[in-house]
Amino acid sequence: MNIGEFDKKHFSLPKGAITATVHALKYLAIPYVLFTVGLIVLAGQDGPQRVADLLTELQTVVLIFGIVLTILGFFKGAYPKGSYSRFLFGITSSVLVIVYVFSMLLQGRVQDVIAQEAFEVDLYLIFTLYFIPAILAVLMQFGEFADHRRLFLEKEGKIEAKEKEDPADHRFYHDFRPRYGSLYNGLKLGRSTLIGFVLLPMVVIILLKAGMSSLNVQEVDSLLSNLDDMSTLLIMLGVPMAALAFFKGFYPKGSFSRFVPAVIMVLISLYWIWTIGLGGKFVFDAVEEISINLDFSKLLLLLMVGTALWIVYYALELLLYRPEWKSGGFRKDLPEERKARKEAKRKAKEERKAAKDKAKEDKKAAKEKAKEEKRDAKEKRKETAEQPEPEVKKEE
Amino acid sequence: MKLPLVATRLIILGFKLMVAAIVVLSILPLLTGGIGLDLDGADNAGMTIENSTIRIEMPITVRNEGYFDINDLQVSFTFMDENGTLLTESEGEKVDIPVGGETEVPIALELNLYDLDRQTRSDLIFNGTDLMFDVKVSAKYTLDLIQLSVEAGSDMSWGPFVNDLQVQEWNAQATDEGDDQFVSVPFSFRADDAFNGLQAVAVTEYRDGNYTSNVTQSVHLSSQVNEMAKIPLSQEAYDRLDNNTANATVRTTLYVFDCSTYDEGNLSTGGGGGGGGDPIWNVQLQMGSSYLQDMGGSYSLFVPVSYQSDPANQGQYADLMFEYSQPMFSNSGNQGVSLEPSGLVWVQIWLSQDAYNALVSGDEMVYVRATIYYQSWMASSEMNYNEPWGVSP
Repeated sequence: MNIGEFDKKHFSLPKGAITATVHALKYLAIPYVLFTVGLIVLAGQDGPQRVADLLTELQTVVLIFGIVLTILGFFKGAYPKGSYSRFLFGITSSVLVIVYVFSMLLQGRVQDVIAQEAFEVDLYLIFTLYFIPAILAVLMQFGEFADHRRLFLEKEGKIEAKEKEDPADHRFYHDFRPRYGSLYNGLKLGRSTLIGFVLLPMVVIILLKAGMSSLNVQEVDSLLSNLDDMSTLLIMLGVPMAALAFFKGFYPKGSFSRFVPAVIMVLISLYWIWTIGLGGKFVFDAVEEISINLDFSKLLLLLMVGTALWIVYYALELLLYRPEWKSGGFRKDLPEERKARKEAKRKAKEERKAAKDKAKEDKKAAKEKAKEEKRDAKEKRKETAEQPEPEVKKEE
Repeated sequence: MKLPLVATRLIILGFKLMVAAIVVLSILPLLTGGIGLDLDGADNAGMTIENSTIRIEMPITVRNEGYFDINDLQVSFTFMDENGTLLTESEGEKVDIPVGGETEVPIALELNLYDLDRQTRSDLIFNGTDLMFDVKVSAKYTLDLIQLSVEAGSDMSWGPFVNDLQVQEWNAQATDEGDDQFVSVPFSFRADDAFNGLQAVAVTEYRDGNYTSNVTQSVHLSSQVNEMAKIPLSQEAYDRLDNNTANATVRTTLYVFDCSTYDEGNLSTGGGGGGGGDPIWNVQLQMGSSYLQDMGGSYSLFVPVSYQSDPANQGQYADLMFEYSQPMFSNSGNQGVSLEPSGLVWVQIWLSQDAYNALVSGDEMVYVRATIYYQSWMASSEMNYNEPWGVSP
């Protein structure tokens, strides 16, 4: 490991403070306030003591882990992307977050108290679901390091800057080259898609099933069976979508390699909406002799039309960003790269403006000069005309 | 971000917000009671019959203080027999419920009797029957984006519309009008109010061995019909009847639409004995005339029992024993009867309060049996009955 990357010269106090603030809010302040509010509400309503005890313990967990994560966040933010120092603090904090969440289960006591006060819910199953995106968050640290390492070294002058690709040699299928992709962006989008399309709905289904099972009513059996089918479908559609989301995020804007998975994702999400929306038809016939049919397919289609507009969006994105990506030399879609492209664009614009101004000034000067010369010539002619003509003796 | 992309994002957001607003505005009135039903009109439900179609009308009021009209509200009924075979369908009119007020929705249930097979029709008219039915309420809501339909299945007791046909053969009178001889046999029946004014045909037939005679008459239906069938007789038949040597039966057949029912009895006139030598015969429970009574905390069912007895035994005492049962209650007892040639005795059956309430409010099936014992003879009648009772003051 290059110890030199922990050096003070790489350290940015403001950047560290920003990341520390974000971590403090996320892992310390918000959970702590929520548990405090919970305690106040419980005290006001004379709630069960065991819940109050639990919330107090959770506050302690939040304080311990929250403070540590805030400190780690400070160091992570303070070091530049692509450095070993940032990578180390980043990966430590993302692993610690998993331990933090696991500690909040309080060795199963949270689950026991929920079972006693409300209904039986498998919190360990929910934690297992959480573990998948948490692992992806750990991998994102690797991704960030891999994406920014070259830029960091270029900035440090340790390697030479990569030459721009010649757009003339680039064919559209070259867009699928892995070297254009950003691992961090891909993992980030894949993770958020997995959370939105699979994990959160699964958690809702687990909670619904737990709540319904606690009712001990036979009429909900068919509904529970439907929820099981829906879970399977969520996984079957959500996992490919998350994989496609990885590639969509991985490749830069303006590339076909981003456009194609994005469009497929929209198509799958249309099917996802239609399926989760039960095809726009809800039938409730759990109560004997009564059947309720709700046909909201038109409403669902309206929602799908709104979602299908994303295809237009990605087409426009391809058209609008492609020239920029091309002129930038087919670089990765990294914030630093974007910043550099923007800066180069601004510089080029300034240069163009300066050249234009110079040309204008030159033109003006030339014009002035010409005008002056003209005036001089005119004056000269005038002077010549005013001089008396020498008398010529006529020989008669 | 570039302007066209921002615009597209805003359009997508607008679409989603629009859908969300539609959903919220649709659900909100349902949660806050902005949309509701007023079923007061259901008490004014009326049944009428036109040609062969029974029509039940029940106006309900729908209140719509939501944000969207309710369109094409329709109530439909599908009738099935006990095997689930489709008998007939009745579709109500489509009604629009505009926003901002109350709209009266006429729920009409129509049942054309000729849509039913003959046996079902006959059962429905004379015996009453339970028809299975599905009711379907459908409506469009939220700019017709949402369509809701609720289907419920149940069974409905219909009729009987014409019942208690009784040939009162014990009151038959043979008359000699010079050259013409007749036997006049009273008969009675009851018809539901819905059938008031309809015409039926009654054919009363007299049969004595190989001799038959009949009379056909048109009868206007009403809640209580009492008619007299005047059957012409030959001199010989009249003489046999008058001498009590006839072994005659009289049958009244009542035709309503294309269905019929009948009642018959052994005929005796004057002081003749029609019981084939028995001192008591023709015991009949007159359940149609029975009634309930609440006597300040004690409850009774009064059932008239008619019988015929040999005039030779007039004034003698017989013993009438009754057995009564309904779900969750039964009773039995006996009382003395002073015999008359054509007698009627009221049997009082004591009921518990629950049994009484069940009879008043419900449609309980009861079993009644009356047996008259005289010396070594006995005659009895039994019946299952489920007509809701009125309450005598």
